[in-house]
Amino acid sequence: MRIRLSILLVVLVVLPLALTGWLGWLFWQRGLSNWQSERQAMALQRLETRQAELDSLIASIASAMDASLSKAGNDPALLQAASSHPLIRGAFLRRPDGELALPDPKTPALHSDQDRAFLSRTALIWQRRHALGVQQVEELEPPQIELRGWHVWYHEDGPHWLRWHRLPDGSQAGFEIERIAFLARLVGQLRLDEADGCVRLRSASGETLFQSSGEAGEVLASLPCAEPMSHWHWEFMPATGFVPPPGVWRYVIGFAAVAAVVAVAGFGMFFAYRRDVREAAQRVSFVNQVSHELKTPLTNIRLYVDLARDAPPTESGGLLSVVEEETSRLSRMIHNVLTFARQEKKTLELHPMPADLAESVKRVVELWRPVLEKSGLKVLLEAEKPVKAVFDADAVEQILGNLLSNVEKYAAGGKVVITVKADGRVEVCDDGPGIAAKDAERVFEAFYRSRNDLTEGVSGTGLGLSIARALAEAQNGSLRLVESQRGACFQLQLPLVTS
Amino acid sequence: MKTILFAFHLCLGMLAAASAADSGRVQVRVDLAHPKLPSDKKHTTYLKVGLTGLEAPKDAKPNRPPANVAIVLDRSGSMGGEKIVQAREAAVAAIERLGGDDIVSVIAFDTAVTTVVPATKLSSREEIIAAIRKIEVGGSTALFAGVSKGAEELRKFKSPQMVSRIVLLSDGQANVGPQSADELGRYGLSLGKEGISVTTIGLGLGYNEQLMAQLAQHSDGNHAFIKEPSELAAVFTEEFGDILSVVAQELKVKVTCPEGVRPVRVLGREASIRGAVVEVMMNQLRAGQEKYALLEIEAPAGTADQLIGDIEVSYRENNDTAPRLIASRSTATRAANDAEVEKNAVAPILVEVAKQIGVERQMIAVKLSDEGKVKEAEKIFLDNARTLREQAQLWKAPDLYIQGNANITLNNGNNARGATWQTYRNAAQVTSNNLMTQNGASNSNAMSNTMLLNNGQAVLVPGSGSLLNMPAPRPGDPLRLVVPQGSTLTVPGAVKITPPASR
Repeated sequence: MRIRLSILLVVLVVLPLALTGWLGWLFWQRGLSNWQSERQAMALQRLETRQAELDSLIASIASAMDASLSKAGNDPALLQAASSHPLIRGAFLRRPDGELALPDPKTPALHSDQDRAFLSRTALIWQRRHALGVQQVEELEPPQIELRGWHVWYHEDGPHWLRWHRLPDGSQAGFEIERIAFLARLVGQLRLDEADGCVRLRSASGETLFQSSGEAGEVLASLPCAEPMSHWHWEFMPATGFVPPPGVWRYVIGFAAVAAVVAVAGFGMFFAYRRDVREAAQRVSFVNQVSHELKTPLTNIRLYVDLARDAPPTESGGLLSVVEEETSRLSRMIHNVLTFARQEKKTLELHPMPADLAESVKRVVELWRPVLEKSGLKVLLEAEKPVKAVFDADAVEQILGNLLSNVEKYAAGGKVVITVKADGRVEVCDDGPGIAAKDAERVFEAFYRSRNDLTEGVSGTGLGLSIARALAEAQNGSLRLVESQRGACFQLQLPLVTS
Repeated sequence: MKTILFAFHLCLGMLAAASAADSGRVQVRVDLAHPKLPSDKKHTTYLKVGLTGLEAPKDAKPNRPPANVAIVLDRSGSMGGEKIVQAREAAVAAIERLGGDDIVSVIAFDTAVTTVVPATKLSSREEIIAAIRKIEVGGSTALFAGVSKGAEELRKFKSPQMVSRIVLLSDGQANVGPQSADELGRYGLSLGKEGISVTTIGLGLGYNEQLMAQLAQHSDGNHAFIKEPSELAAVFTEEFGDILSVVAQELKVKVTCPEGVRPVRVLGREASIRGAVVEVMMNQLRAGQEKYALLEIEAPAGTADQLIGDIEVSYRENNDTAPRLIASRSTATRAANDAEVEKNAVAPILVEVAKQIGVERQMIAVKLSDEGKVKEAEKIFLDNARTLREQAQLWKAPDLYIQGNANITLNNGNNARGATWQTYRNAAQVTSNNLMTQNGASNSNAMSNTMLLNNGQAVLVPGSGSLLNMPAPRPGDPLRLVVPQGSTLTVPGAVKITPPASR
C-alpha cells in the first residue's frame, strides 16, 4: 500500500518535474545558441556598415582619379603634373603595344629618383606583356577587356596599388597610390566611435590600421574588405553590453510554475486518495456499527418479550414499556440511516410549514424526558412564548432527537438546558465534557467521531450531527456549535414566519 | 678681434658671389660656392638658392594669414601625471595666442582617436579650453590615426590663404597603426604636397625620434625634443609664434641647368631632379627665417664663362591668389689656376655644405648605433668629427667645430648606451631636422639649446668664436655652461639661449 503510494507519487510528481526540468534545459541551450548566432549576425552587420563606409570613401577617391586620368589622356606631361596630387606616388602611360611611354625607359637620364624607384617597384608588371584588365577566358574567344580598375601587387614593404584607366586608343594610363596617404585619408574620414564595442581594420600582416573608440573584448566577427584592399579585414570586438544573453530567470520561473502546478496537483490527488481511503474505512466501520447498534435493541426486545411472556400480567406492563423504548430507539436509528441514504442520493425532501416552534420543541423534550432522567440528567426547558417559524416538524424532532441522544450518551449525570428563543433559535446546552475547538466543524462530518477518552466505549454511527445539520439546512436553517462556558452547546436556527 | 675678422670675411664673400632679387616680403639670394671655375677640368660646386622672409615694415598694418591649426595630443598611458597637465596647459596657452579668425581643432589619441574640438573658428574660446582641460590619459599610441584625423580636420576649412599646420605631441612609440619612420616620412611628404606641415614635439626619452623627425622633415615642419614637461609651454609658444609670422607659402625653387652642367643632388631636402631640371618645394616661410636649397652641381671644363642655371622661384604671399615669380640666373667665370678657384670659394656656402654632409653621416651613424652596430657607428662618428674639425679650421667656422664635437659626444653616448644615448640621439635628430629644413638660423634653434642646458652639456652651442680655441674634449668630458636662472645669454652668432625653467 505505502510502496504503491510512493510509486504513484513518483510517477505523478517527480517524473513530470524531471521532464519539465529537462525540457527547460533544452530550451535554455537552444536559447543560448540562438543568442550566439544572433550576436554573430549583429556583429557582421556592424562590419558591413563599416565596409560600406569604406567602399564609398574609396569609390569617391577612385572616381576623382578616373576623371583626372581621362582628362590627362595619353599626354605624359599632363599625367606627370597630375601626379603631384598628395594621394599619388607615381604615374605611368603604357602604349597599346605594351611599351611604357611614361616613365620612358629609353631616357633614363631624365628620370628622377622617384621615377627610378617607381620603375623598380613596378618592374614585374611591365615584364608581363599583356595590358591590365585583359582576361582571356576561352582560348579562341576574344579576351574580355575592362575599362578601369585596380591592380594590387606586392613589393618589399607590402601591397601597392595602381589605379588604371584604358584610353580610347588602347593605351593605359594610371597612378600609383601613395598607400600611406590614402590610408590616412580613410582613417581620417571613418567614424571614430562604435556603440557597444569596437571595430578594427587590420592588414594581412595583422597590423591594426584603424581602431574605433570603445571597449574592446575578444574578436566576435571578421569581414574581408573589398578590392583593392582585399588583403585587409574588419574585426568587431563586442563590449559586455552587446546583445545581452537571454535571462536564465525566465526559465527558472517557468520551471518553478510548472513544478508548483504539478506539486499542487500531485498532493491534491494524494490527499483526495487518502480521504477516499479513510471514508471507505469509515463506511466499513459504519456498517459494523449500525449492525451492532441494531443488534443491541433487538436483543433487548427479544429478551423482554420472552420475560413478558412468562411474567404475571402485573409485571408484563413494565417489561413491555422497555420493549417499546428499544423499538423507538431502533426506529430512530433506522430513520437516521434512511435520511442519510436519501441525503447521499440528494433525494432528501422536507416540507417546512408555518407552526409554533416552542410547541414542537416542548413535545420532543417531553417525549425524551423520561429517557434522559433515567440517565440521571436534569432537564430544563425554557420555552414560554409561542414562536412562529417555518419548519418541518418531523425534521425538527429528528434533529433534537439526535442532539438529545448525544447528551444522553456523553453528558449523563449532569443537566441539559433546552431554550427556544423568540428569533427562531433553539439551543441545546449540556454541562458535560464538551467538544475540543479543533473538532468544532469536523463533528458535523459524516462518520467522524472525536477521538478521545470520551468516545471510547460509547457506541454510535457517527451520522447524528451530520444528518442534523443537513436537515437544518434543508429547511433554510442552520446548525452550529456555539461557544459556552462549559459543556457542549448546539444552536439550531430556523426561519421565522415573514408576514 | 677674431670674431670681427671672421664676420668681415663672411660679408665680403657674400657680396662677391651674390645676385639678389626681391619682391614683397620674400628675398631670394642665389650664390655659387665657386664663382670662378677651373678651365681645364670638371669641377663640383654648390648652388645655394636662399629664401628669406622679411619682417613687416614697422608702419605697415599687421597682415598675417589666418592660421588653421590641428593640435594632436598623445594621451596614451605614459602621458599620465605632469606630462598631460603641462600638455593641456601648453595647448590652452597656444590657443590664447590665436585670434578670432584662426581655426583650431584638437585631437587626442590613445588606442583610438577622439576629436576633442572639431575644427572651429576661435570665437568661443572658453568651450574649447574647457574641452582641452578634460583630456585624460588612456591606452596605447595610435599616432598615425591621430595625425590622419588632424589632417582631416584641417581640410574642413583649408584654403591657400591660410597657414595649415598640425602640431603633434607624443612621448612614446607609435604602436597602433602604421609606425615605420619610412612610411610616416612618406605621409609627411604627402601632407606637404597639400600644404600641411607637421610640427612634431617629442617629450621625454621614449618617443620614436626617427618617426617624428621624418614626419616633420618631409612635411617641412619643425621637430623639437624636450626632456621635461615643464618646457612644453615654451615650445608651444615658439611654435605658434612661428605659425603666426608666416609670410609666404607654397614656395617652389626650380633650377634649369644648361647642356653640360649636371645637377647631382640636393643636400638635406626632398627634391625632384629630372634630367636638367631640379625642383625643390617648401611649405611655409616666416619672417626672419631663411630656407634654402643647396644643389650639388658638376660643371664642365671650358674657357668661356659658364652658365650654371636659370633659377625660378615661385611662391604665394599672404592674401595672394596667384603665385609670384622671381627669376634669376647664376653664371661662373673661369679661373687661371686651382689656387684662384680656391681663393674665390665662398666660405659660408661650403660651411653649409660641410654641415649638411656632416649631418647626413651623423644620422647614418645614429642609425647604425640604433641597430646595435656600435663599432661601425663609432668609426663614422669619429671620422665625421675629424672631418668637421678640419673643415672648421679651413673655413674658420666654429659651427663646424661644434658639430664635430657633437659627434664625439654622440659617440660617448653610443658607447654608454641607455638613457644617455637616447638623450644625445634625440637632440641630434632635432639639430639635423633644423638644419635640413633650414630653420637653423632662426630662434627655433633655442629648443635644442634649452635641452642641452638641461643636460648640462654645451655640446651644440653654436656661434661663439672663442670656442675655437678650446682643446678638443676627450670622450666623457662635459662642457658646462652656466646661465643664471631668469636671464638670457646671447652668444655671438645671434643665437639666444634660454636657461631651463627651475626644477
